[in-house]
Amino acid sequence: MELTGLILGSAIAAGTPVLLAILGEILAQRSGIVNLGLEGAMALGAMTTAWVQLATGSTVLALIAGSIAGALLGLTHATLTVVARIQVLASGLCLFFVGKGLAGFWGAPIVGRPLPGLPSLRLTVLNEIPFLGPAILSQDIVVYLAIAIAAVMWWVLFRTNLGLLIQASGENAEVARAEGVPVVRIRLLCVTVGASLAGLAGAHIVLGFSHTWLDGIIAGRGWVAIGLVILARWNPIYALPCAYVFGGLIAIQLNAQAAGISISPYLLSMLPYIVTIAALTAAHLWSKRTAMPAEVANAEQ
Amino acid sequence: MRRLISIANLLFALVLALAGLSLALLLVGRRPDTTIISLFDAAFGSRLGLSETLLRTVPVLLCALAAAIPAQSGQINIGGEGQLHLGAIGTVLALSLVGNSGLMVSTMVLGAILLGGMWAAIPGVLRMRFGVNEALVTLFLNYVAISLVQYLVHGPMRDPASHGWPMSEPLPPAAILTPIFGTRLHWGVLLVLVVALVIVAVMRLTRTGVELRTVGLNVRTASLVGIPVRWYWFGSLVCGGMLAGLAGYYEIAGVQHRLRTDISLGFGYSGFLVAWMCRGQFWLLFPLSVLVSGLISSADSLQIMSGLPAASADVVQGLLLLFVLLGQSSLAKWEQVRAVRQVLQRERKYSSWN
Repeated sequence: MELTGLILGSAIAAGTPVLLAILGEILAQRSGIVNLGLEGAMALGAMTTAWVQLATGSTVLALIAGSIAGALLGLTHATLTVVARIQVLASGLCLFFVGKGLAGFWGAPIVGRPLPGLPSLRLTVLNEIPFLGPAILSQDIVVYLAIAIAAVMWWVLFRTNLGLLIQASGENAEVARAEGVPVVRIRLLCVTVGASLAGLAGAHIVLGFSHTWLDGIIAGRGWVAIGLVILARWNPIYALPCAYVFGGLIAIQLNAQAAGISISPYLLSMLPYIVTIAALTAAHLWSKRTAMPAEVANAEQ
Repeated sequence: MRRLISIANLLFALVLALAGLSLALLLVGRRPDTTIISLFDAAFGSRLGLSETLLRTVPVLLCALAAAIPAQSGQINIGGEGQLHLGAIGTVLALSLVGNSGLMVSTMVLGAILLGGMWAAIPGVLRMRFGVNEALVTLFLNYVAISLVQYLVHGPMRDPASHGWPMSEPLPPAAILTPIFGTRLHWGVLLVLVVALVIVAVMRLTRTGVELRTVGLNVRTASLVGIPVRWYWFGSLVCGGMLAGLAGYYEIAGVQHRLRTDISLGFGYSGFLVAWMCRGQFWLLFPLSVLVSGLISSADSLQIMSGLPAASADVVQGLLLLFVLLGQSSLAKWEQVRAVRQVLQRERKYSSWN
């Protein structure tokens, strides 16, 4: 039971960066812009967070700086695609390389420096739940923040006027523009805010998880998030289970020895990617009707 | 004219990318002018540097083709890195199957091509049958392939005589490509050039090449004239995987001489960037591959000698593609504007007649 709690707890912790990244990508894609640079934004966010944490010692500043770094890369993507009209997939891929490269370049002096973790918050009421309570619900603040962001994003997208404008830009930009929707501004906003969430995701990887910065530490989580957006059907609420299941796969890998699994850690580290590929295939098999915003579908052809 | 414009665009982008690198260097307190000069000097300034650059050109050019061929049919192959790793595994596997015999070299090449192609066939089938996004699947498989190599060299393929280092047994001398000019450079360079030229000729001159491009330009038109679109998607991905697998063979037989975890300096990704900078203009692949390989190899050596982060090559490559794309899109926009102006001028002329 304790082990189950441990794995569930670390599944939620490991799933949180992926959740934030999925949410960021959902926001961008709902406005009609695919952001393939997500992984780059996460890397840049993670590196910036590590730098600021080491330089100032302030965790709050570090988290904010990470988000801003992600947002800057997102703003670049939005400007290139919406204003300069570069092809969306090409620009995103480009910024993936630029973000990853810059993170590796500037982060080189601080590789491997230990970072303090985020303090865990115990929610007193929920902590009373037997067995699972203490393990699952003593997470750091970003975990709760991510859940709150998912809820807020759902509300904004599906219950507010702004959400309607975002969806209109994502379904048919030309019609939306003709109807007076400020498509360019909406897209700039969504892609930038979305990428800032990716930056925060990177921040959580270094502060909440690895406690150090290494080049390549994002290890494809940004790309997984882009895949999981399809599985989550562009809905912030469905993003929660998707992210936590993926986190569970990482948790299994990390706790394999404690659980008495004697499979090579290298084989276990393939698991998240293989399962994501299988899940994507299953999603395409079972549902012919996709929730993909029409502007995104156009861009992919 | 079109060639001149794209070369000018490329040089302009290179200048801008180096300006970007200079900014990044200034931020970490390094002198950009001397650093950039030493970067190019290490890559092209000496016999040794040039030979190392050409040595890296082999995998980069092959991986560039691995991305450029699928790109012709509209498929995005970011999986060169993984396919290269599988090719390396295939090389070592094939060698252990046939042992030290006369068929050794050809079996190794075959093993590399087969496994590389197989790795690309996975996203190919998923794309063809179920419509799963191939860019994502090829990327995920990179991480799987790297883990697979790590598993093999830590476990089943580990050399018992390696004192616990994660590496496979060294190749027998007969399986190693002979070095030329007294450097690490091997005959693979010339063979790769031939392979690349053959592929360019197939793309330019044959029916297959034309059909492939038709698929990439317009799927609906292609299927209307009876081109098996899905098979072209699948086939181009598999072809790409085979070429990246071949790069894995060259890295094993020509450079590393055994399977290790660090067989690639990100060649798959660099090849992808080169392919996207060319945008279907195959002749550009050659100079760009050499340029990018020079960046990789000099950043790799300067990292040890003067502590310049190896990621500086990544920064330049990323920015280079970015500015090439920006240049292309502004050129396209300029041409549109010019076309509209011409039409308007003609209209004015006609209206003055009336």
